[in-house]
Amino acid sequence: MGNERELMHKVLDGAAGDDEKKIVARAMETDSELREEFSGLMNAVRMLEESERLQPPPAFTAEVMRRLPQRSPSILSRLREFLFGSRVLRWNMATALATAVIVLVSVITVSRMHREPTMTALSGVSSPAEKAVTVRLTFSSPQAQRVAVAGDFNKWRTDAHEMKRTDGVWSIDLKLKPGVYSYSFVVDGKSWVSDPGAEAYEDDGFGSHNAVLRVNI
Amino acid sequence: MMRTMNNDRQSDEEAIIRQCLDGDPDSYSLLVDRYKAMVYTLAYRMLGDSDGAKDLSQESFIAAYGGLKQFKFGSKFSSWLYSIVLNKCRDYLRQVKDTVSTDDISNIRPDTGLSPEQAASAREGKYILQKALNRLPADYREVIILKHIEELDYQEIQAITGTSVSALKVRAYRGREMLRKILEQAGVTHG
Repeated sequence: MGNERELMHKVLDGAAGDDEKKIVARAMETDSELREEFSGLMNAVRMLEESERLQPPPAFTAEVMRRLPQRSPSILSRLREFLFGSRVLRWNMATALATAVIVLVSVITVSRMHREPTMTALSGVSSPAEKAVTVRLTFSSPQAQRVAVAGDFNKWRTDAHEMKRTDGVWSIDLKLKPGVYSYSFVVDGKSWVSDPGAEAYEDDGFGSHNAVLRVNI
Repeated sequence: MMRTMNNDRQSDEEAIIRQCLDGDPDSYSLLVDRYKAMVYTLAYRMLGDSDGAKDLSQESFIAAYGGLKQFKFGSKFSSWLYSIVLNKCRDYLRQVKDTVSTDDISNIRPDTGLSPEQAASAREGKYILQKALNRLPADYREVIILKHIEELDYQEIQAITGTSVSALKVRAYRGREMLRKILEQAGVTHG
């Protein structure tokens, strides 16, 4: 009897073979109690299998999305967003006027520089054969253990141009062709510091500024 | 063909998960939409309470989002989600306490909570089925739901619950027997 009940459940599990199904069928023919029991089990299983999948209340997804914790984006996605993300510029009249003044002053300054060529703010020695100029950069930081200069002339590598210290003042001579360069000092390998003696600065796009160096022959 | 569809669905879901991990939470709504009925049905069948099922379903999706880093790529997202929902159901039911003993089928009584009107409407089946499920011990109930409502095979239920197939079969056996008795006591005749 016990074995037949186990076979009955095997049938309900959908795992019984033909022979096992025949044994169950034969047992039920002679045993009305077993037949009743199997019928009750079949009824229960049928009710379960016919029950419909339920739909959650409206706005379920929106509520889940609203309650999600903020996940900080990965470095890769932030870089992707920085490079390819679209931006909306918001402006008002005051900003427009200020921008116009800056553009005007820049144009006048550039045109004057072309009329009256000047030396760089830093002393330089020209070398006509290479058409490069030796430029000395200096930076006072007595506490620093190590200072390097990184800029677009060395692809912003922090280990390419280490500066030398003399009495707390760091200096380096760079051979640069005429042009305009951006650079920054890297103190102890981690802190990026703008040159306090630079002739100009530009936004570095990361909330700080780079120094701007103009090299003329 | 079905295998290919399953693989497509799995790789699609994995792409969505990677997007979420890359900081694009909006794409998670695709997974919520896809599985909300499954999750809500399981929670409702386990708890027997629509408000509780809604809260628990939402918390399950939020927990799954928070744990996406732990998701094992190559496994089924639905199985992982099932296990999260079930764990939450177990915690919830532990708090409200299961009152029915796991092994003593003779303790099952006709549902005296039914008024005559409810008893009449109980004939509609849906109501009485849920009442009957509510009376099963939680560990039997979850196997019965996964096996006969969600129609999963024992291997998958094992992956979800962490219980061996042989133990699951025993629970299904006992759960079905209990369910049969409860339905008979409630006056649901054989179809």
